[in-house]
Amino acid sequence: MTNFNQAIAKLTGQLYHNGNQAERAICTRKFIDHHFDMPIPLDKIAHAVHCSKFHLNREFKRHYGITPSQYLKDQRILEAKKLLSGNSSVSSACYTVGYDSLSTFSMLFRQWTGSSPSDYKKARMNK
Amino acid sequence: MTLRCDAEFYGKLNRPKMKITVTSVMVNDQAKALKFYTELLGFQKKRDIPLGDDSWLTVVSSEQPDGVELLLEPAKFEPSRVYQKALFDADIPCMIFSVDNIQKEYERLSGLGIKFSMQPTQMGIASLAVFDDTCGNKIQIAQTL
Repeated sequence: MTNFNQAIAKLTGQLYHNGNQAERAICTRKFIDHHFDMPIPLDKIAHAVHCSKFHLNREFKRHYGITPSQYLKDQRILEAKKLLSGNSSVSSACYTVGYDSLSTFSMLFRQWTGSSPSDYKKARMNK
Repeated sequence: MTLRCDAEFYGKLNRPKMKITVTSVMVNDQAKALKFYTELLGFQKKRDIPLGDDSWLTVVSSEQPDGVELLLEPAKFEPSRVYQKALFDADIPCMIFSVDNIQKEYERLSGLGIKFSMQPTQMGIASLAVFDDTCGNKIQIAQTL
């Protein structure tokens, strides 16, 4: 076993000795991946994995470095970028990825990408 | 002059936005590295600009042709070669690539003769593996679970 392998094994033992917690975070991520275009009821996911939503929030952040709501936002904007690079209009992309407000979508999109959805679409079309 | 590092001060500055567009990996042979990174790993050549004896040679992920470019940088500066060898000898990866399915990628690359110093190993919410890029580096592939 190499030094690197030993270091990974040691860290895994120290940080992830409770495999259930990692599994809970992984399940939550997969759920978000499959349902990001719908309202995500964090309390229902928490109930399904047998913990409180506050605990789930903490566990998710400890494992992935961001909260479930941040991850959800990231997935929605990533999908919106794909849609805007294709034939989707800004409003269609907004509703398809699960937002019901164009202004919220535009604000979050700008925060994430640095440009508005329409500017992003124009730039992609000009490429 | 004292360097200010408080967020409030920097938040007021009208700074240009910086982007990460290029990162690099030192290689002991650019031609060999290009073959390895394109034909075996599946990257695409993006730029090949002659610069004296070498080239500004970059590859990109075929999944993200407009994404960050990886510069295959000739390891000609002696201290950089010492650093590269020290990492290699300690099996420490100098670069991480993400993959969708690490087991499948491990089997594909192993089948092509690539040597792994770490087989797919779960660490919390990630699965990691490390291989030799034959250009002087250990490379880690990772799948977020």
